[in-house]
Amino acid sequence: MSNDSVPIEELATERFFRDFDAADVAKLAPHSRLISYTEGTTIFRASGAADRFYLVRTGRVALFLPSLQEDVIVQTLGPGEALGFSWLAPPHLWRFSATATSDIELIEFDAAALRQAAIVDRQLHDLLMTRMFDVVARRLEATRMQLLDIYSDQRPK
Amino acid sequence: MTSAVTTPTAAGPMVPVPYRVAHIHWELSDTYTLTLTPESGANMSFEPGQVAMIYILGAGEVPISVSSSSRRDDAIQLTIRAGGYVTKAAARLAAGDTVGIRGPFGVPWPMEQARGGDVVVVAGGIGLAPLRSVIYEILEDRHTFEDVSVAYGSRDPGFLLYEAELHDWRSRFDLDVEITVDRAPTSWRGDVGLVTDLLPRMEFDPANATAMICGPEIMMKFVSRGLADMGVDRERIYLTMERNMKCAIGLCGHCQLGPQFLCKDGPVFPLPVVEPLMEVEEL
Repeated sequence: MSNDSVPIEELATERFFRDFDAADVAKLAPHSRLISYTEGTTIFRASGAADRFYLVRTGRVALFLPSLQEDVIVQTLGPGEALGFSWLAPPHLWRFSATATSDIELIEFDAAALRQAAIVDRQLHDLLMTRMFDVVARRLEATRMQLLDIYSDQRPK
Repeated sequence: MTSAVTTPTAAGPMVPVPYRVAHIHWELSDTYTLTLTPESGANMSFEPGQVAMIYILGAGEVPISVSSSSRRDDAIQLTIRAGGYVTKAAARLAAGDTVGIRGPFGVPWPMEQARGGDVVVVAGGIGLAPLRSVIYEILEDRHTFEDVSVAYGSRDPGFLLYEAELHDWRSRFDLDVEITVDRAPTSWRGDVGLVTDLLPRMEFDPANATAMICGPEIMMKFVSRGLADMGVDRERIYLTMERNMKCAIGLCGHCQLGPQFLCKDGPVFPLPVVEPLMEVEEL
């Protein structure tokens, strides 16, 4: 695990930043670092402080809902996908838990620093919010599709 | 568009040919695969994606996509969900019983067009059945295709159709097989989420890819939109549609979808043909 920030040109290749120009990516780069976890590591827990934002570089992450009976995975995320949006708005607490289902590499951002950068820079704020809205909208769409239970014709073995 | 390949039997397309049940294999608690051998010894010649009408004595007749390899000359396989009167009657068949088979009918998947390029196969639920013969065909002539990706979405890990074959296909170095389910316990090591989420994770060249999709219509709508957004030519995105088929030769109109007869114009269509029809309520 490194404390060095991720190089701008490397960050700019991430799908999340496809609509950002280099100058905007440069404003976020100092708040990033590359981290890795081994399979089975808990990245964050539901109700914990949502003080980080992640982009998945390699491997898979499972978002799950802890339960007294059996934990349920609600979504898995792979390379290029954003992990976590609870850092965007108060109370800044994770809604779900996240675990590495393989060895993974993540780009980690300091959420408070991202929020501060967005407060002082309106263009960056709009770019960031537009991208995060897209992430949230896709998750909502996925949730609705899952609720529709489109494969309900099937019966288990 | 690939043209319909209808090979009526010598007695005519409306006359069923007797086939004998060789084997019945339960895939899920309500879904089974019948292996049928021709009593005459001459097996039906079909292309992947084509439909057979199976007639169950005393019950009726239903259309089922052939799910076996088109290279098999000894038998055909039909994967059927026991949902209605006829399909429940077929579920009670035993080895040695006789059924009637008509066909094959309809437009097959565009295998020849797909050769030489990348192939993306996307299936949801029991929609893997009409695409299994596509995967068999690709594996028979693997060298004639470039990158081949298979994305399969199901309800949960207990609902995977052809689970043993999925494992076999996933273990091959020349197929990229991704599976996702709508929900899963934490013991599941695979993906959870929409089948559309798998598309960006798969390695194919959108400019050189042919896509074949089968599943619930809402899934096909989202998948085809996702593939088109990635740059796959809409004319090279194919879907197979399902409607109630009766005569299977374009006379009765039971399978009509707008101006299209699924039995002779489909069931496989390029996206531009069916996309506007999928927007029409209650069609």
